[in-house]
Amino acid sequence: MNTKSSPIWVTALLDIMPLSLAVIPWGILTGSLAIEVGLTPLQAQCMSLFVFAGAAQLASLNLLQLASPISSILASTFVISSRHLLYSAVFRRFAMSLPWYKRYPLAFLLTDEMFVVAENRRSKMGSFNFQYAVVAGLGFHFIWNVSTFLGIVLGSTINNLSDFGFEFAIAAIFIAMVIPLVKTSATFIAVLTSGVVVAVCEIFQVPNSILIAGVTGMAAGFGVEQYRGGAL
Amino acid sequence: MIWILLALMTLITFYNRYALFSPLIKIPLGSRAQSFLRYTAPAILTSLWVPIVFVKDKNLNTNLTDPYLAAGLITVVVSLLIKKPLVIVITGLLAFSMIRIVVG
Repeated sequence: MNTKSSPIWVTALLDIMPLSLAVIPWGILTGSLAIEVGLTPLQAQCMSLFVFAGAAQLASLNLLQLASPISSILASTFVISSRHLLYSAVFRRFAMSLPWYKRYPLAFLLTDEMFVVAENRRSKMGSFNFQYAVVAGLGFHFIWNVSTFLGIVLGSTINNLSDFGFEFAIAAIFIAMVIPLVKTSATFIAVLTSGVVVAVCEIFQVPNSILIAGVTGMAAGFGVEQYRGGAL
Repeated sequence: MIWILLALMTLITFYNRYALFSPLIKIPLGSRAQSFLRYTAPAILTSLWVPIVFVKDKNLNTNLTDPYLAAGLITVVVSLLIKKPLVIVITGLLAFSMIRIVVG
């Protein structure tokens, strides 16, 4: 590979690294919870290898622990991971031009974290880069699985992970990625709207708050853009 | 049983990520749809970080000595001044740990 003139895989790994490190505690939690709920170590590892969706995995393990029916576990998996439909819509233009053996891995690796860095790079460089996206996604998949493995090995000896404040690292990373995107009043309104809506949903314990707030914010930003475009 | 559950969950998460890559889905994404989707990253990411900073125990977090709120606000201000993501994240984490130590 032409790594001397364009070490794109190095850039990709460096860009995904902070996000990968921030999810290590969640991987450990997922691995140890899976064992606690009664999955075998192989099943617990396969969950992270193939399902590869932190929030959906944690929710399904909690539901399993409550002996919930399979149908409700699958419904929760669908709802929680449905925001990825939006990511796949954003990358559709680029993915459609790729052969299936590139589309499949690109889709499989399309997490929040990979979407963020790949979309960030696309907006900076002006074009989507397949290799960059896949390397970033693989780096994230690797760290997610290593941390799940640690959780499986450590078992349930790690409790109260939230006491360490790892969640804040995720917040700081997302802030660092969102605020520089706010360059127009439409984007500002999108961010403000989704922020207010998600807070209200969380306070009143409305389910699917992330999706509701995200789509409302997108509609608000789009509305402002259309209104101003029409008026001018 | 667990294996079947894992297989079905894998299919669901993969479907959600692949759905719009499929040539079988003929929905044309016109320029209006593209404009709408441009707000995906800022809107969804905001809905992921705002609850961590502004919501505490199902209430609005208004306690300025709370490390999540205080360091979150500091991170937002720093990100308005400096556009370097790594600098923003490190400043935010330092602020968070220092406030934790001070507040105890």
